[in-house]
Amino acid sequence: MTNIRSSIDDIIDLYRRDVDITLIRENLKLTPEQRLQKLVARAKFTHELHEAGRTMRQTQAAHRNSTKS
Amino acid sequence: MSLFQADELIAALCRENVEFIVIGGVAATVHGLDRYTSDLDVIYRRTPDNIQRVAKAMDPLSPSLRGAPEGLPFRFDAETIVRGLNFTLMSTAGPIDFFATAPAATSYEELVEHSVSIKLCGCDVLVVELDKLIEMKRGAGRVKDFEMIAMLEELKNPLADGGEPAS
Repeated sequence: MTNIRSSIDDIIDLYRRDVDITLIRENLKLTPEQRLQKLVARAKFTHELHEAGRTMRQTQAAHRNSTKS
Repeated sequence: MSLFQADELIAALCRENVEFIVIGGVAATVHGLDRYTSDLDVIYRRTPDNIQRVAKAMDPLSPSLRGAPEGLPFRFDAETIVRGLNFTLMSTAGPIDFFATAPAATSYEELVEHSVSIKLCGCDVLVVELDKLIEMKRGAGRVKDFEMIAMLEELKNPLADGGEPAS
């Protein structure tokens, strides 16, 4: 069977050059459950960053309003 | 926006014995990809019993249509699921997408043959196989998936071996 390549394969090959294989190796040392928990922890951290950013923007807006008046 | 808790979502489906297969970014994570994803994508079985189980499993998580105007009357019950196919939802445990079909996967019954059973959240969960996941991502043809396809293909590279692949 011939392997038919498309232009998409060329783009994917470009991305493959930059894949950090060391990260993949480290991740493969974890069990599937540990990988899922790592994702959950990452989601929690991302959520906390978003909340912190929101609080900061609100504080800055309040500060700007108080200096205007 | 609710915090994405993939484990809570999976556990909720398992509690009601929902027949589903994990696809998308969470499947990629379970297979070993080190990349963030912010929703759970599943293919669900379209049988009357399973549709009832999906509705029952999601009910405690207050599902709503993602991106829909606030206050829009929507109930994710069996009747709604029967009338629709694919649902992009927000819940108290974060975003979850239910698909009846997906690119390169015409149904649950077809995809189940390309899935592996993996212990997650205390239950045996079906996760789409790595090769099929790559096929699905290629089938979707989205530019944003090209990088993920490259990473998924590297997971098959023997040089990346040394851990515990999911399949």
